[in-house]
Amino acid sequence: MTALPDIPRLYTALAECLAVLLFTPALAPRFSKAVTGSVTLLWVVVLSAFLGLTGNVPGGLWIPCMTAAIGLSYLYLWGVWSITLLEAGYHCARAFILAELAASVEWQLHCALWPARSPWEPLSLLLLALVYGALFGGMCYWLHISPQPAGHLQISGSAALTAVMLALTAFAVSNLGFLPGSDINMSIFSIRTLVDFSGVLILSVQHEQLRENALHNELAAMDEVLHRQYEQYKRSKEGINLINRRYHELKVQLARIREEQDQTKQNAAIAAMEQNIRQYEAENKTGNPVLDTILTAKTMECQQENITITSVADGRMLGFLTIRELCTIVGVALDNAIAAVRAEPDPEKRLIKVAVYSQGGFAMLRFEHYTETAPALDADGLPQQGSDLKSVRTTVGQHGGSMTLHWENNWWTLRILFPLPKNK
Amino acid sequence: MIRVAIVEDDAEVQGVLQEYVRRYTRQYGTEFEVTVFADGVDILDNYRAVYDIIFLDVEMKHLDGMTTAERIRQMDAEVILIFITNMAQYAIRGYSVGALDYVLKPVPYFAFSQQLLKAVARLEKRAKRYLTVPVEGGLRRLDTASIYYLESEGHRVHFYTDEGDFSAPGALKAFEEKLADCPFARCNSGYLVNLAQVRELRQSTVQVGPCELQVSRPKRKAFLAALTDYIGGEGS
Repeated sequence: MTALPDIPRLYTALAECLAVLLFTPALAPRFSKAVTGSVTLLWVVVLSAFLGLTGNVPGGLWIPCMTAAIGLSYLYLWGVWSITLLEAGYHCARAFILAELAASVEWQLHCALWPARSPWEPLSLLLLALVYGALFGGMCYWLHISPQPAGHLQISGSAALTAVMLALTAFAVSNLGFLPGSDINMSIFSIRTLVDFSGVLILSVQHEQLRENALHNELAAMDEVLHRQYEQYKRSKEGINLINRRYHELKVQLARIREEQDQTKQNAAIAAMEQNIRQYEAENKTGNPVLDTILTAKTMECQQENITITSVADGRMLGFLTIRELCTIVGVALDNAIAAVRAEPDPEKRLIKVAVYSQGGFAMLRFEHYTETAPALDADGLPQQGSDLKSVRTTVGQHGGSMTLHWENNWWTLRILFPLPKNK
Repeated sequence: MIRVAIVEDDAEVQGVLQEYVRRYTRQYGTEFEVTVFADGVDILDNYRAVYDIIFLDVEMKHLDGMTTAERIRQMDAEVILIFITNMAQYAIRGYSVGALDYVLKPVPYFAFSQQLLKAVARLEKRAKRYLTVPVEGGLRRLDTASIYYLESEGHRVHFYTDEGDFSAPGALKAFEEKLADCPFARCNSGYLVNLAQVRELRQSTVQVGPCELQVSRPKRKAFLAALTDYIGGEGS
């Protein structure tokens, strides 16, 4: 049996490029369309040229060459798309094994059908188009139909590491048959295809799991808000019933106050009435239903604790945040403020102010509360109590925003800035 | 002397607020000249942009506080508006007139004094906004608000402003120190940007007035933090 030729390097390069480009539509670009497009083109050309030129290197150099090629794709992924180094590793591993599988399947078919035919004849190229088209097309369709969680899919360090290790193992095992000295025949091709196939399968299952976890978390957050919404609805219903009953009581009270001769008693009665009335003023409309719910619930909480909270909020532009993100930011900020002012003995000084507005291409969320003691900060610049702020800062960072904390003139201010996404 | 207007239809509350202002003067030493109006209609009649701070009751007989605020805003972009209200929350309208601050009725002195303290601090900050720049044949007095950004060019600094561009001798660092009280920050080592002119932020560039400038990775974090404090600080 004669030794079979190995996959032409340009075939590998094409598979590699297609596989990487398959995953990029889900990522956010770092730069403008023109820059992204031209860097992508440059990367395709450089990778193809590199793989083409290093096609005939001796066995010992083969591994460094493949590493360099993977490194190029990795750098491209990280440099052009707005992802962390870990996430780039994860996507790169998935793309690499998928590319290996595609190239392996295609070349096996080619060798089985026409071992002697040149890879550059029209018929061979047709086979290439068919196999790559079916494989990448199928994968693309599958990615397209599976529901995607809103926002950025979180990839943890361990998930990325697992993916990279799996990809490396699959790659090593699939290429064992190509060690110098062994005969290259169809069975080695079959083993390579099978191992690559299992690699793709395992990585796809892992990805599926990450995706489902993200969807599940989102649902849980949504449930929480839905629950609150229901609570709000129940409260307003209770409130309306109360108002109907109180109408009558108020009339009676008013008549009594009018008859009252003692000025101080009259004032006290009026103050008590005002306190009651304030309970009903917690209904809030900011243009964002999630913000409405949180602000209303927190305002009621404050009224019960004798805390004065004032808020001016335009939430119409906050739609780019998921429910979970908005819940985290506003909930944590207000919980911290409430906990801090609750410790203030003088109720007149229990003050919280909230402002949400947009200015130019930015959204601003500002939370202020009065406190006479400077909060102790940890090495990270966050208050030692209320480490929840860390999750707020992470959320803000994911949207390219910024969070600052200041204590000035006895006021503790938390400011959060988001650059507003375009066309939204 | 800071000029304050109180627009409030309840004579008793008028008296309370005037007393609060006097108490504030005793506490902090800031002098005020207070004018009282009984309705939105009264302050709008022959309105002149002479006030620094206006306290506005939201519920008034003839013209409510919100509408009054909108009319005042059309004539006076600078004045600080503070609402007095018994509503715990304000939605969109408060922001549209540039009023993020208000005090709840019945007004306690402490909340009132804190609000006034903040307004006074804002007025003081506003006062320092002119920069003298040495140019050929003399000195040029420049409104810092009109600057887009400053660019370092060897031993000169190039000024880009909405009144045209010019350059002056000196180091960028020296101008940065002079502008310490104004909202300026570096988006990379060569550009000092007026944060008030920042329109939009993209991955690696920032839109400052009509110009698009590069943001360098090392400066990005500090630049964003400065921008956050600026946008979240003015409140109007």
